[in-house]
Amino acid sequence: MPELLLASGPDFPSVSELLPSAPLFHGTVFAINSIILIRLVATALILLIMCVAAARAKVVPGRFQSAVEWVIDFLRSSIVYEFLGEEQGERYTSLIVTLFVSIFLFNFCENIPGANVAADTTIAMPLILAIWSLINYWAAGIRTKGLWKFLKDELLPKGVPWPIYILLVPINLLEIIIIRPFSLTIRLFINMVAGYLLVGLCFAATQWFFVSAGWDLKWVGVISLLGGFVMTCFEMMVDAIQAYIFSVLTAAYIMLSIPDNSEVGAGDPAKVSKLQAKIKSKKAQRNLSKVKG
Amino acid sequence: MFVLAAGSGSSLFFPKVYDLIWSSVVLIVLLIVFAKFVMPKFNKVMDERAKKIKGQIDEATAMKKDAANLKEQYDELLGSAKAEAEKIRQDAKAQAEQIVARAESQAKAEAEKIRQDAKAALEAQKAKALSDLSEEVGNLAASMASKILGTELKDPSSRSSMADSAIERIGSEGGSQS
Repeated sequence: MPELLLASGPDFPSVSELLPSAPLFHGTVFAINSIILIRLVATALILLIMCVAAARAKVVPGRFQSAVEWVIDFLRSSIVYEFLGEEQGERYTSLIVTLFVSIFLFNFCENIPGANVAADTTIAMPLILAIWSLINYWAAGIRTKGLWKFLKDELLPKGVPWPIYILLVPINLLEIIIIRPFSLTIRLFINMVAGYLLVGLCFAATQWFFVSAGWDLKWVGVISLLGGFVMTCFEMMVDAIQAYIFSVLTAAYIMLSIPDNSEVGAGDPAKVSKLQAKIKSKKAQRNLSKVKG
Repeated sequence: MFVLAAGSGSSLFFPKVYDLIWSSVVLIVLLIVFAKFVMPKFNKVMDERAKKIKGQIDEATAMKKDAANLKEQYDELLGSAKAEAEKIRQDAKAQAEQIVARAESQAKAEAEKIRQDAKAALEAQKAKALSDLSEEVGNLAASMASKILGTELKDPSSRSSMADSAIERIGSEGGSQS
């Protein structure tokens, strides 16, 4: 039966491939399957790239350093300062940069021949990342307001008649404990699974049409190859977007937990414009530094 | 092989313990390395750059200010020098005018003096000539009269009165003739 299937149809990817067996340290809690191996290699590469960039960082940057600095600057100004302000945001810059760079490069593994699957295409990695996000926004709230005040602000929003609280308290509690990390996890994970399946589908079809299909159908392989190419480009974009979304949402959740800037998102126009002016001036300053550098 | 078995599909969403452990290890290592080494290093370099640029801008501003001060001083000096030169010029002009005026007045006075002297000398000579002439005419008249009268007018006073009357006559004749 399997032989028949193999012969008759393309070797389409399946989600079972995303549940690989773990040959290394099999049966222990340190078992390593292929995706974990990819993740470990990717981590080593990220550390190597970033540490080399950091170790060689000079006041007058080279191209590579400029590129890394551009990423850090972008994340700092467009995520951290935008949501958290300069004073409160600075301490979260490292977190956001780590999240974005790690997630992006983990995701990007799906476009690298040999890996072909994102390093976070098992639910554990997005889940751990989301839990770290959850720990951070809880910690931010508790650090700035105290546990009781933080919970009160989150669970009992102002301006709501008290009977609604019966409904709101469990919903809000669910939101800050389950829904936020769960949505972060599922969004990232499913995007990576979908990407894996889409690109795999295109290339498996191409292989089948070129090798196994009759001459009358071989031309379809050109279309599926083109589709695979387009999908790979699309996935590169998705990799960046998902990393960005994860980082932005983490920053947003932290913003909602801390006192002062929580109103910024709610739309205090004076404060928003002030913040924007601040960011603009910072940007201008940094641009100037780039020009001078 | 395109099989979405219900078991494998849902087990996709149940993390394995070893996977969770490796995910945590990876994240912790990344977080620590970024927080302790990568970000501080980049922040340091970027701050240093910003500081350097700020320093350069400050330096340029200070230099500009110095230059402006120098220019002001120079302008001031130039202004005072110009004023001084103008003053000197004015003084010189005044002095020259004074000198010229003095010389002129001196020359005028001298000329006047010379003129006066000349006039006085002329007057004196004229007077002398007149007296000489009157004496001569008197003598001539006297000698003529004595020759005519044959008598010698010994008395000098009559002689002079005669001469005077003779002159007067000559004068009035001359006057009526002219």
